[in-house]
Amino acid sequence: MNALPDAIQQYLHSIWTENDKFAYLNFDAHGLIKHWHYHIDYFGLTDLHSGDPAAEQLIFLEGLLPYQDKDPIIIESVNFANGVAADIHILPADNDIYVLFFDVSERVTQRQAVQQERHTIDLLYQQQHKNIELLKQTYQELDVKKQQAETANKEKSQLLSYITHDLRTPLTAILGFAQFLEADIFGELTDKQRDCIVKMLAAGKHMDNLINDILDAAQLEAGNIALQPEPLAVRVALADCIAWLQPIAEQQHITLINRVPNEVSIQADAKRFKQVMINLLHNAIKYNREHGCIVITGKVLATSLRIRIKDTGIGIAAQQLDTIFQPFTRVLDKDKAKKIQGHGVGLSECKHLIGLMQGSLSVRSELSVGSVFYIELPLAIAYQDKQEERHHQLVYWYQDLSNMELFGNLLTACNNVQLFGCNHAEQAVQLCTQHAATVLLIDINSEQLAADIAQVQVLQRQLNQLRMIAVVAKQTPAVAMQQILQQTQIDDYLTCPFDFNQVLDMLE
Amino acid sequence: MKILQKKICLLGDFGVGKTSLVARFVNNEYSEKYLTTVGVKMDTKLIAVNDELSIKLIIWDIAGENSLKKISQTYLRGAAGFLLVIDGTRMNTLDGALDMKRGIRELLGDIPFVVLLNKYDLTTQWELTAAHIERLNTPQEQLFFTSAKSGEQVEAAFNALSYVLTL
Repeated sequence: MNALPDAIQQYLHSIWTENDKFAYLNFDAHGLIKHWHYHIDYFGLTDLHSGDPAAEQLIFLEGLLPYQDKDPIIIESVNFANGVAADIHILPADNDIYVLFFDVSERVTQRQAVQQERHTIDLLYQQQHKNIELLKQTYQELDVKKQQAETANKEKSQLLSYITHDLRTPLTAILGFAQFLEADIFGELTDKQRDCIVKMLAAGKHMDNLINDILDAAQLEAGNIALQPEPLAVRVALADCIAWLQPIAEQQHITLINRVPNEVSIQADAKRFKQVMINLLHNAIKYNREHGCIVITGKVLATSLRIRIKDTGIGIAAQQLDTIFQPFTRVLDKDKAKKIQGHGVGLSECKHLIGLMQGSLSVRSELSVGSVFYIELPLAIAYQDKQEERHHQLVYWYQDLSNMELFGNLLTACNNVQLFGCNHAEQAVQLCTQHAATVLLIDINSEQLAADIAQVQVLQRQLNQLRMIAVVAKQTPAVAMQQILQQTQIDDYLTCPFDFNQVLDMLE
Repeated sequence: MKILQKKICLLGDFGVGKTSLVARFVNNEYSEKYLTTVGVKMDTKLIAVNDELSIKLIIWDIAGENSLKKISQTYLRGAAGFLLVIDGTRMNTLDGALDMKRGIRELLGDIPFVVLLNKYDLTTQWELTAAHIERLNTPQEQLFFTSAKSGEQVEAAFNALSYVLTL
């Protein structure tokens, strides 16, 4: 490179980077071929033969030799046979023509890769653009269909509303006149006539109830029901519902127990709340067994009251639990459905109404054991303000801290629970005594069952009377569970991962 | 209304007043009776940050230790922030706190915290000077002179941490 004239060296400095491989050819009138071949070796051009594109380009270069312009001529990315790509710069200096070769193979490879990538991105973009267009179109179609469906639904609800109203008017007349007849206003009836009238009245009342339910459902769907939420004393409202249903319950010798705390008040529409409770309690009676029981309890959570209606009825199969809140759905088989009156709008209506009151309705059930319905409704503001004091002190003797953490996170829904944790038996005794705990939860590992049971037995001797609840993994074998329940005074257990409703039931 | 749920831990030496601070903050109670905390205690408190956002603090009160090494690190797992409690009447609780602060940084990274210089009602026994406090290298807005007994600055300290946790 030192042999190069100053002008060429300056040119090189302005464009050359250290990574560039560089060679140059200096053509003069006498030594053309010699120099040509010497430098061409660097690029492996000795294998070139006629017809090769690179050879053609070199021939073209030879044609440029007489050219004596001041500005360089640059031919970019000339591909040679051995895979090398070079930029060729031709420029005059010192009355000579210099041909400089720069190996740009790497740059060319990179550029090709970038081009390839860009091409792939372009394809992806085009595809995505098509997908977006398709999605837009689908959304538009869906929107139209949704509007059509909503209009149809509204029209259906209005139609139902008109029909039921029109059915009700003549039915009122039928029932009214039947009542006149039954009351002997138009003369005394024979036994046969009375029997007919009584049956007519019963069927008429059933039809009236059915129309009322359908009318309600239609109005709910049409959004025609305006609610008036106000502070409502739950226990009193429930007592009214129970009083209304008591005669029906007595016919089946079913006991209704109201254990909702006295002072709790919720924010709800009184009329609709009672309607929901009557519906749920009526179901609990209808689907109960003779001499069964229905217990209503209330658990105050952080901002809501959770009412639980537990019955000893026929229960609902797991696969039917998902559909019971859908309108016109009954979970009974045909034989049972004939025996128990109903048309399957009650629960869907309840869910809808509870939702309108900012609450939720859910269910847990076991066939032949019974069902539990949970209604959660917001506490009245004034009552929420009173909820500062804490009642329950729980101690968790954990083997796995994560279990206690999960449990603690669930308890954040309750304002009146305080949780202490430890992983030593002595600490558990200390904590239970110190804080007058109401419940001790104990992690039990089925893999070290004998040792855990022995520990529980020791604790029981020291903490006599304290309620203890075992916490076991979901996959704990039934035999192990039996062993725990038989050999200790533990009478209740929770499975981990915890079920929120199960935890709250346990606390009640 | 959106509710964020965050776990926070109280850290500090024996008898600095962690449990009393929680009792004051959560139940607005105070007892002169000293009970050593056994194991761990979990409390919750809902704080309204603004009309649209509340934060539910799950407060872990851990038995007092003078070094982080002695605290089961599983207690600290998942903590979004912590309150470092120092007893202003016992100088030696400052060193333990400094150690814990360093340790927790290594364990949980740069999580938000506030420092509570507790028992501020015991003015005649107060030992901490400005020079001591400077060693904490903690910005002024994260330092609180608290008294679980009078309730002074307790809520402010918890609220300050809660506010940072919502950011």
